[in-house]
Amino acid sequence: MPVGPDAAPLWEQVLIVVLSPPLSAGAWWLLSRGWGQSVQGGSVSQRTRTRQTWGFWIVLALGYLVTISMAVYAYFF
Amino acid sequence: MTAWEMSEETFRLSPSSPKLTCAAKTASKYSIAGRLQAVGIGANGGVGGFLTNTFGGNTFSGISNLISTAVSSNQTDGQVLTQMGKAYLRGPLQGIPASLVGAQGTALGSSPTGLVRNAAVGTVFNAVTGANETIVTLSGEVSLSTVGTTAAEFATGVGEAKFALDAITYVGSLTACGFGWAH
Repeated sequence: MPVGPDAAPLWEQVLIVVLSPPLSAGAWWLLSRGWGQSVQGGSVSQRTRTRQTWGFWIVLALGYLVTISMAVYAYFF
Repeated sequence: MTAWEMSEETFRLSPSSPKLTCAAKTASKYSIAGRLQAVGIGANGGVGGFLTNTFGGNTFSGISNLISTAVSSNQTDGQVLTQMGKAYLRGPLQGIPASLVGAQGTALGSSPTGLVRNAAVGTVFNAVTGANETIVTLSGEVSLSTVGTTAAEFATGVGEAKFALDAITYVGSLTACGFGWAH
């Protein structure tokens, strides 16, 4: 699917592809920390912390997978 | 121009981007609330729609909309109040860890939505494990041998999965808006 007629300028598209995954992963990490503290009463278990660390990288990787895949689809198909 | 004025100007400009508005709208459409409304639950607005959006909406869209509403002079008072009400239900910190801003143990660190979500997650937990306990009594200390985890960890995982789904949906929506696929 080619880029639509009302697409953002190229520099903005690059910013979205490059920056939105890490920003979203960071926001996810903050939200998860807050949620974990709320549910577990302030003392978050080590198991949860480890999962949140892994979760950050997984969300980051998935974010890049989505944005890069969509960019490739937009410009090469 | 002072640093505060500069940051305020940046704050004012960035969320008013039509692509961010588009992303929030598109991500909401594909959120749990959007799916519920697609089958008629809370689709007619009012209290039902408000509650569906508040409890099942995309968290990232909510934050984006709250910032957009708060800084936009085009919004009506009613829209601002609705967003503020949702923000209140989600908690003043919008999920940001209370310890990071020194609000741990204060009213800022809790929210009515959190309590309701805890209760809902507790119900799911009981349904899955057969445990006849509330999330409050389990609260991280009671280990369940059948699943090898605690109720609080289970609830934490549910929230993390929901946030992850919201995050990826928002990223995909923002990218789609950037490429002109969504409006």
